[in-house]
Amino acid sequence: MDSSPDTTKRSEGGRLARLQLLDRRIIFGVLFAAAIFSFMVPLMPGRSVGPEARAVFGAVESCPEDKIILLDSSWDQGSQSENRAQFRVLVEHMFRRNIKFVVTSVGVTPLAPELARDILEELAKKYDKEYGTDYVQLGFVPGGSIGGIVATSPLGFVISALARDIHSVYPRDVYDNPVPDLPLMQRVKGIEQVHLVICVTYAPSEDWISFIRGQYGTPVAFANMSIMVPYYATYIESGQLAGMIVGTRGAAEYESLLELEKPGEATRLMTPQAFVHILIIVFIALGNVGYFAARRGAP
Amino acid sequence: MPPDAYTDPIQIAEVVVATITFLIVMSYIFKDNSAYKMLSHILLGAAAALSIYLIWTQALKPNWWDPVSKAIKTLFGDARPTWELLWILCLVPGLMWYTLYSKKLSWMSRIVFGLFIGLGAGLAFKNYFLLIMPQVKDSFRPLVVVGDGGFDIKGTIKNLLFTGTLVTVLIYFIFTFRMEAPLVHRGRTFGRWTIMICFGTLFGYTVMTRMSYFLERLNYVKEELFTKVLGL
Repeated sequence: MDSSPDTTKRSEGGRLARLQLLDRRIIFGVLFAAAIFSFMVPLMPGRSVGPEARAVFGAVESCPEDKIILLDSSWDQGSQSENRAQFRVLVEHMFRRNIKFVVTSVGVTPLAPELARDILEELAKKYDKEYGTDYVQLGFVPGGSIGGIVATSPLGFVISALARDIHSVYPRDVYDNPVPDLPLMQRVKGIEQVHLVICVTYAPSEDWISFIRGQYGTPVAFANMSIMVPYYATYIESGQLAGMIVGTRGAAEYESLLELEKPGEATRLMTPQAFVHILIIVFIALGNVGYFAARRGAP
Repeated sequence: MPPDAYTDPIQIAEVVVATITFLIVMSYIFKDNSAYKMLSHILLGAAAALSIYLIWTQALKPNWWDPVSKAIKTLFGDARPTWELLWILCLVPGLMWYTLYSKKLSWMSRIVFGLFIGLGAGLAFKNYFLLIMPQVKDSFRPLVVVGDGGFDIKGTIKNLLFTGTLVTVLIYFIFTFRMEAPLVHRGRTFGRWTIMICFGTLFGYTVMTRMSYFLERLNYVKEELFTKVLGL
């Protein structure tokens, strides 16, 4: 048996090289166990707030009394893991600051109004707000595609029409009330009365930037899934987007700015998120150790 | 049991079904199995049915069927026919799409295709100017930033990095000319590195989104099933 130092070194490299071939079921199993464990440990509140979330917060805060915020809630079960916390914290902020707002669901999913309604009704009760006076939910309007099939006008046309005359796009609200009868809507006709547009969905359409920010100069902010950030970062850089709430982390940052009495939905999810992210980094490091060990041990 | 515990059997069934569905979907990452396949087929069937329902209830019925049927009724009553009867004419271009399936009549479908392409092109043209031109304008940045308090080193570094990345990535994507000058070659390499960093960022955010999906569902099982149903 050859026991020269060179052979020993090579066999060590061989053992480490097996890290590259780790069965994916082991990785998933460890990840699953770590995620379950992370829900049992005490919450670790976030300590830093990014400029994107702070910018949205500032834009909402600066809403004058005579204007409203247009909140487009176009998320459903598919993206509720991040969008629900974002929507909730935005609504909570506006109710706290007595900012009037109108909720629309333009184009993306007809399932959105129902999910938004649950949160709106719960928070309206908490902050003693009145429907029609403090906020309005207009419901779904088709635009672009439904169920992946192009069945209606392009989204840009609908957004343009909404900016010109909200009443023409929405003759009735989500509860089937005539929109002109709602006190808040009697002073809101079009984009002139809107201070800020915030679109909460998986991947907000860039048509909001073109047809609202580009054409009318009204600031637009997005609350989107984390995966979409690289696509929208350029619009933040150029000033076309007033701000962005980035996934669960963005919602947690916003919650910390709002100083909620109890940790919010996003803050509660950030501790498990941190656990699994660290674990993934560890796995990436192990994979690299295996890679370099294999290269060193290769003849 | 907590005060907000579920007592309604329908609510309990909803949570149990959601949890079982979640576990079946997650079982796929360990091994493909018949429960996962069955669930995929159920979801596909439900999604197809939902699409048909949504197209009818959200697009066709309110925008076409309701006004037309209302206007047709006026033809048989005492009321004067309304202009909404004209919506019936939309049926003609609508049906022209389906001539695609006939070799003899497929030329008719090209008319509506052309109409939609024109519509899309017009919108895209406007969109381009409103969306892209501000980006182009923003790309022209001063390489030395001087603010109210004098020389701004942070702003200068940021603009240098931005402009350097912009130029080198553009060089990387030039295929038309053969450019072998050392400066261009190094610029191309730098451009490739910045693109790789961008891909890394994209991948990081992808992981974050996927983990959010997973953790939100785990949280649902913990809060809904264990707390509100089982009272643990």
